[in-house]
Amino acid sequence: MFRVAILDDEPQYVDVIADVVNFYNREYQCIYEVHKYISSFQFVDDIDSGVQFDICLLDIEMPNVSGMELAAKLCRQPKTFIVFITAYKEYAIDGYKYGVFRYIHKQDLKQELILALRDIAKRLARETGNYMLVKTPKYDGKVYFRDIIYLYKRAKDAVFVMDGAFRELKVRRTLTDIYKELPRNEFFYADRCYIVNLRHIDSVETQMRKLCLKNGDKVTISQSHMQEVKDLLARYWGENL
Amino acid sequence: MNIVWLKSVEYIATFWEISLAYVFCSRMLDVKLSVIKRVGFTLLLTVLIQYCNTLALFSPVTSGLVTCLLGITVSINARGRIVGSFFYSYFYILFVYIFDFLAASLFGLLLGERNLAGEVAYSLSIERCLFLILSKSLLTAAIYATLYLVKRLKTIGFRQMLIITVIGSALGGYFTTLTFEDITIERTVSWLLIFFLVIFLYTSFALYQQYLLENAELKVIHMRNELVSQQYAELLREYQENAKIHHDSLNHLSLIQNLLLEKKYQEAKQYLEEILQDISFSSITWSGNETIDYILNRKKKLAEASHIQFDIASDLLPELPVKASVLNIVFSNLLDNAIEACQKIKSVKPKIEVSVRRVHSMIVIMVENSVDTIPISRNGVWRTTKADKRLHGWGLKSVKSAVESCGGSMVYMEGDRTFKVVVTFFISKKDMDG
Repeated sequence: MFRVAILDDEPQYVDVIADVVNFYNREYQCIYEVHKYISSFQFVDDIDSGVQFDICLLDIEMPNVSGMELAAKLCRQPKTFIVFITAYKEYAIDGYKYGVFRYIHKQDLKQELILALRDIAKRLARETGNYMLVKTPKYDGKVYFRDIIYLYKRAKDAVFVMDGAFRELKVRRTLTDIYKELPRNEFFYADRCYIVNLRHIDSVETQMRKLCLKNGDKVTISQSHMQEVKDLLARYWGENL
Repeated sequence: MNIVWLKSVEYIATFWEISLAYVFCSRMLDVKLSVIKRVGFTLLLTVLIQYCNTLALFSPVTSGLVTCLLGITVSINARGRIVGSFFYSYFYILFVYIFDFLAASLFGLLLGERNLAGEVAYSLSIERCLFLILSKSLLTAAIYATLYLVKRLKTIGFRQMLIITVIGSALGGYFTTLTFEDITIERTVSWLLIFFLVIFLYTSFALYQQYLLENAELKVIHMRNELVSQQYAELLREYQENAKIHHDSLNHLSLIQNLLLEKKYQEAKQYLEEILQDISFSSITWSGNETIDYILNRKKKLAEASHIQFDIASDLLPELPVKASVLNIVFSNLLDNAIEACQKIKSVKPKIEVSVRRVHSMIVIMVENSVDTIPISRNGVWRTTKADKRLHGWGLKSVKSAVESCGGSMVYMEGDRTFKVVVTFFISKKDMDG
């Protein structure tokens, strides 16, 4: 079961959105548990007290705390999908800084929300259970594939560079050995000493032959690999958006 | 003369001959061979040839063995161009043969010994040394002249190489026997003619290949130009229609005002619906990019007229550093292909889904459509399923080359009765943040 928060200062509109989610539940046999909010204060209180949501459907224009401010707060929870429901698409430019999953136009609410819920469901289904077990002196437990930005070789160790609490995890294993456990459609060898997660490639610098990663690090790739990497990226996002 | 000196001259001549072989093959195949590798292989082959030469000079077995070893060592550095490596090695050995016999014939004529070829082949002598110096000098001059002549030509195909090989071998074999028997001026000249014939054939084939290639490129350019002008004409027509609508809007508004003043609400409503049908397609903003939105609206209208479900999901895009002409090629071609594929579907309701998404510093464009048959790609060129085969099939190729010219990427995916094309543009962080 996945938890969905709906926040809009207009109570009628909260109900309209909830109806679409419930319609989606019936049509696609999903279980999205709906939590309705009409006050951003109440929503912030719940978030601060540790309540976690898988999906947050937020209005942008609200009194007190705006949707954009909430997104800035929520982007610290990387596992939450933020969807803005707005009459003004112009906000899209700012929202991308906070990793907003999608913008939905109020005019096309039903059609666009169903598409967004379907895409989120696909991604959630794929990500549940996608992890490997890692044991280091600092950490012993699951490492989700989505949290690995890249891996590199340091002497006889493999270092996981992570998106989250542990920035780096050093493991006494070879990269080749770890690569066997990683999903092939998501990870690739950028170089003999680097394995990169496609989802965390922020941009490609063709002239400089560099992959710029989400955390600001850069990995060099050979000229002959450049087009192949771009095609892999297109294929990855083609399957995962 | 001391036998050691005679042997040294032989070793130097062979070493020079093999070094020249690597120069010839690597230049013809456009590969780089490191100095260490080149010297190592040359020394190895020199020792091998010298050993074989102690048994007999001009032996076909030695030539065959050297061709193979040259071919193998060159192909190691030629990234799998094994056939080319072997052919060029063979050409080189053929040149060696030609110039060895040409030198032997010339020498024979000069000294007045008509069976000199046989003599130098089987005995170590000063004549043999002089013959070697003459033959390798001629070979060096010929190789560099050949390289100079063919440096701008393209590599020729397998069949053409085979033709030259067969002709060269047949003529070489025939004149070898004759030269061993008796040296005459005609036979000496014939060796030179064989060399020119081989070069002539190679140059002719390469020029023909170049002509074919340029012709094919011209055809592609011509087809692309036709496609662009077709799309431009369509765009112009739509713009004119839009301008007309804009021009008429004042008249429409005054007419509606009159109808409302006269309280003819039903007529006013009906009139509004009529004109809205005409202008609605050009007014929806999907991505904020004029070119993209314009094409999306136009194609959506076209698709829906053919009873095709057309869903668009788009993020608002920043100002793109991608030319409008590239966006036009991408969207027009992909959507035209999708609409035409959907028009052929009879069994289920056809559907097209278009997504334009911002992901990190990338713009990802996806066009997915229902299909009856998945398009076929052969040698990177998409085969059309359309009746007019002249212009089509180039659509996807055109998109791919346009996208890659901007440093982007185009891939396709086949699903269960769906075909999806994904185009990615890589935008700098600065452009992405607007």
